[in-house]
Amino acid sequence: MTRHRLISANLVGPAGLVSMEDGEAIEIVQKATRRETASHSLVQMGGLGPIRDLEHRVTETPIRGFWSYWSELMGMEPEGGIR
Amino acid sequence: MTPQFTWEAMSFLSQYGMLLDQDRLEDWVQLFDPQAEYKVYSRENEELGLPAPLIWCDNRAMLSDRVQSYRNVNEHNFHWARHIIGMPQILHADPESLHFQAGYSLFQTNFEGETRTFSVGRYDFVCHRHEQALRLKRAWVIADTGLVKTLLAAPI
Repeated sequence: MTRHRLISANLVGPAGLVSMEDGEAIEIVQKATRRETASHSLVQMGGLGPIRDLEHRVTETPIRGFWSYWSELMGMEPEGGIR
Repeated sequence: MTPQFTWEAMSFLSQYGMLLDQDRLEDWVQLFDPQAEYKVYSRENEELGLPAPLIWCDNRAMLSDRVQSYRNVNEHNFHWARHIIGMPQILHADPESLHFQAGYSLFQTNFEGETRTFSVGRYDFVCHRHEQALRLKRAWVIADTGLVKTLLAAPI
């Protein structure tokens, strides 16, 4: 089992075949948003507006849809939440 | 211990580093035996006796997969690599095999010309002789640099 876990470690972390790009992607975003060091930078992709079906998962809209429906099912929808 | 062994280890290490620095990763893979082990792990884990690696390939095909993935799949920072490898210390030598270690520094230079120290550590290599040349049977890369700044895509 230990061996199995260690071999699986090839998939995660900074050299992980699945996750290695994460750090790089964050660095690219960080570089792009660093210009205004004294204020905040905000990138919104589908963070506002109606929740609707999409052909892709590039924006936040599907994630918002997931949590919206989840909170509805759980009976804990926040006030003013968008369905 | 004869100077011949040190010379062989030095020649091997310079080839190892140059192939990586010239981005000849497919040729670099050929320095390994088909059953070779390649493992990158931190010095911290080594000293604590913890087994978790950063990369662990227990045969050459896994290494080839890594190279294929690097070439065709992974998004990584474009850079040049430069390995500066120190004098090898021979730990064991016989007519069939050579065990040695050497310190390394690995620098990355991006296309804006900015250089950063990417990883510092030591190689612990066991080579077997194969058709007059040395071929890696076991390559341990023990990195003092435990913090990988963004990603470790190209081999060390």
